[in-house]
Amino acid sequence: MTTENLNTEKEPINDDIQMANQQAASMMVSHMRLDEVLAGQLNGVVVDTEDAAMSLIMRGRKLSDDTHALLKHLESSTGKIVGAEQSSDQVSQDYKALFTLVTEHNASLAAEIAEMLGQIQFQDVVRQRIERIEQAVNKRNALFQAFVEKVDDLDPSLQTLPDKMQDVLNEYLELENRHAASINDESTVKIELF
Amino acid sequence: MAKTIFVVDDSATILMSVKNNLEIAGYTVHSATDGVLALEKLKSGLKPDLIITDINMPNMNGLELIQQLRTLPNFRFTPILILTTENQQSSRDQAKKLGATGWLVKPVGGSDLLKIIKQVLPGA
Repeated sequence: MTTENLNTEKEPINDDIQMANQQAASMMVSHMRLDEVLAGQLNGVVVDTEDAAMSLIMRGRKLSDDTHALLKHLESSTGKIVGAEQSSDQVSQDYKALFTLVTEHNASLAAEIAEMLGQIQFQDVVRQRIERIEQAVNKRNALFQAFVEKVDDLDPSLQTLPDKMQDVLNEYLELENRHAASINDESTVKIELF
Repeated sequence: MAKTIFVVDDSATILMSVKNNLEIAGYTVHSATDGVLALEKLKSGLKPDLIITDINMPNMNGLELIQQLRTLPNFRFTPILILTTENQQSSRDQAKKLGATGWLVKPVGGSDLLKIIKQVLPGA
């Protein structure tokens, strides 16, 4: 092979290398954009999870403190009623007052438990958000796999991969937009009767 | 007599959460984990006063379930609330068109849920 022949062969090879480099760069940009969005979403999930956990802990602690205070009060009141020499009317009134207190506490306990049960729904909200992120990552991985398999052949279909990566991101964002952005999202109309 | 509420959701957590909340409030609660199972139970004679359903479920989603139920004479006027993570106006419009009674975005606090139920079930 002559030097002239070699130079003629070199040009298309250089073009191919340049094309492959451009494709790789384009893929990297799309990949970074997708990763940035997914990382932001995961961060949102973490913040929401922490908020929900803290709220549940605080409610649980309040329930425990309230119940403890009530028990203390009952213990002391019962001691006073039994220890004092009182008329039966007075004893009856004291027990009525205690009964009212216990009833109020039970109502408040039931309301707190109802709120805590409502907050447990948060688990499902997070599960679905993570599932949507997982789906996007799986699609992204499939595109990368295709890229790795075809990159040596300089397959022309490689040129469409950055667009496909962008499609994965768009599809994910569209799906995510259909759902409430966060459990604390004030802009969401949470309850609507038709 | 206690009112009966039928809850449809594929999430065990949601079922547990809503079921316990409603039972503590004195309702009788039945449940199913997807639209197909819900339809089977409802066609077999169960006649709840209210149905609460999720949208995204396997086999049959909540919107399809509402569509099917509205064709059955027994469920033409039964109130149906949607309890979902979805928030898109177009989905709400579709649900309304299919005959849903209301739209609740998860998570819904226990007292809010009970308030809404009292609104759609007078005397409950």
